[in-house]
Amino acid sequence: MKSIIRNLTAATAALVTLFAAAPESQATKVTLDGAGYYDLGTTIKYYGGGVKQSGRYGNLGADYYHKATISMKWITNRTSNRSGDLSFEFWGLPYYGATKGIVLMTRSAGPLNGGAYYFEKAWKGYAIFLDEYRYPELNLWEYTRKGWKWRDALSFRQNNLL
Amino acid sequence: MTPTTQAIGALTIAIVCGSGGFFLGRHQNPAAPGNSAATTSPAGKLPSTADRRRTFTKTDLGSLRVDLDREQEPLKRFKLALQNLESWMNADPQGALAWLKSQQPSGRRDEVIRMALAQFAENNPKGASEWALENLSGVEFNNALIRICEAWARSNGLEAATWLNALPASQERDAAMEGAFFAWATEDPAAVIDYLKKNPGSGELSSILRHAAFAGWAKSDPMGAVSASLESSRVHQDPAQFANTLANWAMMDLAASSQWLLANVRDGGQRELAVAELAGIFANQSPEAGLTWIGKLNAGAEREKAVNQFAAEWANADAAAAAKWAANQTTATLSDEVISEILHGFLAEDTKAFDAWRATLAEGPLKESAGKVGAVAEDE
Repeated sequence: MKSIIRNLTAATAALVTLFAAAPESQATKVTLDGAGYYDLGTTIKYYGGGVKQSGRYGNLGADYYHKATISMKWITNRTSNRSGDLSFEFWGLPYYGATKGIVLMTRSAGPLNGGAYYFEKAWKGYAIFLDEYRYPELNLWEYTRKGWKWRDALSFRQNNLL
Repeated sequence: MTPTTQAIGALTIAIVCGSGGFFLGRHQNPAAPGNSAATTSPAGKLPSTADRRRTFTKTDLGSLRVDLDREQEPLKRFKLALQNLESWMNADPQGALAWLKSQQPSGRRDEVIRMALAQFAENNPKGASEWALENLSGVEFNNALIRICEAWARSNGLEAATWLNALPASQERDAAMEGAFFAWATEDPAAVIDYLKKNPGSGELSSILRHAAFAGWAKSDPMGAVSASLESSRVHQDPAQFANTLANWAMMDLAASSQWLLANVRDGGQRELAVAELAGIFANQSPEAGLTWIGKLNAGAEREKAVNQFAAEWANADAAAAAKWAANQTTATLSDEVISEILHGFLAEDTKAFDAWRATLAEGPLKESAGKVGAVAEDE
């Protein structure tokens, strides 16, 4: 799938761009590939009722939030079957390489037809503002008959004020 | 002045002033950490320090409850509660939170519960964790428990670990444990390692907690942490643990960590994984230094693998630079997949620059591959 590329002039130019490999990338049927991007707004606001999310969660609860954009170079369904609903998520991890952390934003990203992919697609929303330095991670979940299942993750190799 | 105090004060002032569209706002510049906690409330109108530290007596609590029950107007009742909330939380946090939860659901109610819980966690993290366990669920429980337990572990790691370890296994419990063990190790690594020896656990969580502990240790004593992690990873046959500890040191000091690896780990699975990890970090943080470092690796398979790992990640970070390097270097053999990563990355980054660069290539495999790269219009 990576051999097919679209000539896309950078919609990502305005994004904060950090790059990393996926240390825990596995041979799953829906994968994250290439660079990941996130962009965080500088205006922080308290939302007592939380902010509407999509994907795996509808709301993350009362908290400080800021605007956020998350994007991956590629999100690919590597099978011939249509995937379940996908949840593309932004997390804050306590240390580099951590497996779990605070869920900051979730966006619905699917389903994807067999063999289909997103290329440099960006999702906008509101992410929890932690006011802490943590390691950002993008990860992907798929809804299956057994509920939401983790599929892939991309950990950024630089911490940031999230 | 704690953010909780500021926020409660701001909320009280806003309600008193009748601001229907009230919200608490924070504006901060991510480039200037530490400037992010200013609230919209004027500091001069906040409660005095003496007021904030005041703790209710039983008589005070009783009369407050009577006053709250007597007040029929919801907004006034809420205002009365807010005016006394900090003292109430200090004296009877469970009672205050129970009263708040009994109020009509609203964004404002949830906002105050969150602030009250933050104060509870500062005063009594165990109590706050127990309250979260009983009253929150799903992602809100996950996020709240991580925050409470990380702070708790910094002040009393053994107590936090013991409490968490006694909970039934769940995603939320395990997430809080990972954060807590990391946080505890940043303060007292010897105690965490001792705890893990006495409570080895089993399965994946056991490995995760060791990763977290050594990563936390690396914050304060990176050389001690990687030395101990190297030994531990050999005992537990978990080379990824050592690579992760070293990577967490590399996040703070890439030069020192990469030199340490070359000087202290001559071969084996630990070195192999650690080299791959550092090659990726170099590609993102300091490609020129990375090329120099790779030149010091053992010639042959180790260097070839590192070069390919490095180039693939460099292509993600700066495909044009990676492509120009690939065109000029003669010593390493890049895999077809890595060449493809570089070429497609460069093309996506800047088509005109890619075409100009392709025209300058000497005859050979790279030019041949570059000639096959094209653009298509649809991605789905």
